[in-house]
Amino acid sequence: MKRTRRTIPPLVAAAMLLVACGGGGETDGVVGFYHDKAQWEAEFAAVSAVSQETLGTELNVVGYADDAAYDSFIRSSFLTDQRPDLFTWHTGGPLAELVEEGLVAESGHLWDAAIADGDVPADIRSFFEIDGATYCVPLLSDYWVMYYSVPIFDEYGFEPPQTWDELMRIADTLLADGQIPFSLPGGIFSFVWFQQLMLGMYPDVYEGLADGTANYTDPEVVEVMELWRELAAGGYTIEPGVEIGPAEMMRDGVVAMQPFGTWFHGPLNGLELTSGEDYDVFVMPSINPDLSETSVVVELGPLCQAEAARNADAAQEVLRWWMQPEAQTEFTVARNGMSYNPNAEAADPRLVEVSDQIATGHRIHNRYFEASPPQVSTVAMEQFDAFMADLGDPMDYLEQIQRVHEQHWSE
Amino acid sequence: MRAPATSVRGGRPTTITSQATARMFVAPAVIVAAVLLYLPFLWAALLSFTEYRGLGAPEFVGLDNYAAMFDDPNFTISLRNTVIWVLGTILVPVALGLLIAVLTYNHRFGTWLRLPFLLPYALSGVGIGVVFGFLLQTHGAINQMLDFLGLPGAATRFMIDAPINTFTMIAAASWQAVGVNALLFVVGLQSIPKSALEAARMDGAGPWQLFRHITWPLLRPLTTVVVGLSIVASLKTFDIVWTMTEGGPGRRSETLAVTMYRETFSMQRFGMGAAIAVFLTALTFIAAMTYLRRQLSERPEKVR
Amino acid sequence: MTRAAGLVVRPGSIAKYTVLGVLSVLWLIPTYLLIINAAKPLDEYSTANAWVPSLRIGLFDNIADAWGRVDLASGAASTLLYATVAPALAILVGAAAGFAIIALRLKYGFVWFMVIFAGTIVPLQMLLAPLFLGYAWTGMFDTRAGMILIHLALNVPFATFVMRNFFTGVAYEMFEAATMDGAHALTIFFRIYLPLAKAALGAIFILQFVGVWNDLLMGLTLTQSSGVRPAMTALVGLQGMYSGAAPTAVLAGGLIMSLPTIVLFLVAQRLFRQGLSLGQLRDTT
Repeated sequence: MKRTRRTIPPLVAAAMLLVACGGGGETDGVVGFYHDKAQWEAEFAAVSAVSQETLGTELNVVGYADDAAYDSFIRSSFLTDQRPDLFTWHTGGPLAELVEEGLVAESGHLWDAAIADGDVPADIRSFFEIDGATYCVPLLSDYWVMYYSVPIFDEYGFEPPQTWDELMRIADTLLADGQIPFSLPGGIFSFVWFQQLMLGMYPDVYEGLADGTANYTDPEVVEVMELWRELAAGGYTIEPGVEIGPAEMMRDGVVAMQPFGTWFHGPLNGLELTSGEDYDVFVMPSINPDLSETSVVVELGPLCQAEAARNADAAQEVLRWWMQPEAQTEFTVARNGMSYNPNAEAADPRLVEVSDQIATGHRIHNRYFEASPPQVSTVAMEQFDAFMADLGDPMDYLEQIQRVHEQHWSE
Repeated sequence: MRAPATSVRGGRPTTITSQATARMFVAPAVIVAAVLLYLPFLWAALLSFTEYRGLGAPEFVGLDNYAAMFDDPNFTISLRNTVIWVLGTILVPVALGLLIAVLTYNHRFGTWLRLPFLLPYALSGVGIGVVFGFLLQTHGAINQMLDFLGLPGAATRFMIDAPINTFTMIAAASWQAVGVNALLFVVGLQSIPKSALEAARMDGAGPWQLFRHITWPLLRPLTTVVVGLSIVASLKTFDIVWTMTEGGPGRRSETLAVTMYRETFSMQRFGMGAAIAVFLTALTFIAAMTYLRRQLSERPEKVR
Repeated sequence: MTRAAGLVVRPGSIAKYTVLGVLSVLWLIPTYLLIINAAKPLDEYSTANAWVPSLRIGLFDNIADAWGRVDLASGAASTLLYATVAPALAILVGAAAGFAIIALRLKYGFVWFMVIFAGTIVPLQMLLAPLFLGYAWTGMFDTRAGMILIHLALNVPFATFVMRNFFTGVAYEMFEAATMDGAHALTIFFRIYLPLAKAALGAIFILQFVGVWNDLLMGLTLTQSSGVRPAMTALVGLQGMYSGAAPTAVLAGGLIMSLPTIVLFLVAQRLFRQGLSLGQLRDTT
């Protein structure tokens, strides 16, 4: 019985010693760099090492693994002295909300210089503009393309399709042979087929949905949903609820093609697959042959500076540097992706070819997730997810989305 | 029913000094709960009367959030799923836990026989999610097994079709919870005097009668704990749904806690999320009070 | 050792072992899948042959892979601190409250009990935003003390619940006798009631250790630097669609983080028995 009493004080003492060494706040000369891409912890650390060498500025990189936890941390942090110097965010509605509260620093002059140096294509600037002013810089950019299995295409002697008809001929051949042609991303990616089919058929309506000038119950949208239903019901896409990782599906040939952002290179290489040998990409052709340009989605992650950043000058230098070839090459090679900066190098030359191809004769759109107001896109993604599960009458789902869409744009 | 406060009080008169001491003993628990649990909850409760998106100042809207909540068909689905969770959690893991405890206690190798059931509780959620993906995905291992055995349900999409996906997740939650319940019941069973069981056995009672008339009544304090905690925990079911379906497809497998989290953190509707939280808290409080008053306030005649 | 009833062959025995056997096999399936897939070399890992173990052992490479991607070592140290200190304090605080209500016969004891216990009914997810603000304003954000404090608070209601329930089973005469001998309440608490409750204390500690060990939400919300952030929060970063981490690394990371809790459970099972046989509640005939 006495043992109980004697063991408590040492335990408490040891605990207090351990407790005492906690994490500290930001120190001067160190720029706080917050991101929600925890899977790239090592990649950000590599960039930080270079920034310390080049700029003499150390990045205190803090990663979050959970989107919801990250978003609410950033929002709440502005009410406290934990607010970040630099942080990753989303373009579109979420950025507008912060700008409206005066929480984000303008970055127009950084863009002017970067565009003049040829480090950033001028046409992506518009995604960062709110009421005429520019905010943040692009952390990264990825194009949404169709990934395909090279072994499967080789087996059937397919070439990457140039038209929708060619693509469907490939799909029909595969389907007749018992090979599932396409993946069907769900959950947070439930918008993918909607986005791809909308842009293939009615890119203007896609933009109209984003800015409130079109309705989800418009006949064009219904037509797109009907096509989606046809593809899914016809077995062109894998069934919902299959939990095989996308990279694994590619390696094992579970599906032949998967629409994804070029960041998909990362997971594929994680499974030791090689670009050009095991997988490759093509730009998804337009469905409507009358469209003069093929629409392509770009996914842009902004890196923003807080208006009240404590190390404002150092933070701004990091932003300026971030768009330059040195930082872009470092980050792009580390994450095995592509860069918006044509002067930067990429680990995979195929990605450079693809971005050069897209640079001419293609129309660029913001990803659905960023393009639509968050209130609308959340509901839309739920409805798409439910639609895939039961492939019911598209109108039932579209009406649900239309309700919040109307409500949002009437305010 | 007698008031609990007086029923607990025995014949011994309470003196002033002992009450002061008693308050000192209870104070740390009360203070910790008040500052770290009730104070934040009060903040949330106040938000439920406002419209707030986590930026700027909350705007007072009265009872609008509550009205909107009861109008929302998603809330109804969520409430229904939560009720399924409560019933399922009391039935499956508690009953199975008791069964395993009765089958293994007092057995020479009881510790080892219970090990398969305890392992799941100790395994971390990271990794287990992947494994349940193997088993429960469309055309997954469970489907293949049913097909192989010629059993019905081989074509079921366990994670997609509602409300089957909720039953599936209850099964997964039971997989994790049974061992602990079994362990708690074993602790209870071991405190039952051997003499009572021996005496009954002498009188020719069979195993079922022994259980029904001796073990079960004497286990009651423990059953109260296990069932009471199961009710509270199942009303707040969140983790397993969030990792397995995120409430989907659409919002069809959401529980109240998931709906609340989604409204607050995915949709940034803090006021709506807070209204659901207040409703869920009230529901849990009423359920717990009703159950515990019945079970705890009557002091058993004899515990030993 | 008491007479082992299970060894005597009775008609019910066959049914009993059949039930146990079938349930055990069912229960071991997911664990089996976790272990064999965490141990596979990456090139043999595939959902299609999840059931088939590999002849080549990739477990250590996979663990090294997970370890290299996230700072698991410092995370594990923090996790261990939170998972031991917070439940230990919670048990002490909870037992004191239970003792006050049952042994010291605190006035309105049931009301006070409900005040503490009701802390467990508050949905955790709702506390995240206000806790973050409160922590940031008071300098508790991203500190180990802050993490211990919140886990203490979260565990006190459960500890109080169990201890109050346990102390109702302790004969009141024992308290009276000790008081007659002139013992102070503090002495009675530490020398009589706590030792009596060893088994219950052990049980709560183990359950709460596992709970804190596997916590994700509080780690995500109230910490951010690698010295304070618990390991589970770091490990979760490996999952997800964007992640370049191999699935085998995720499985191996999950498995290695489960080892301490598994060992604790193995040790604990014996502790439960010892605690009980030393206690007063066991009738030894």
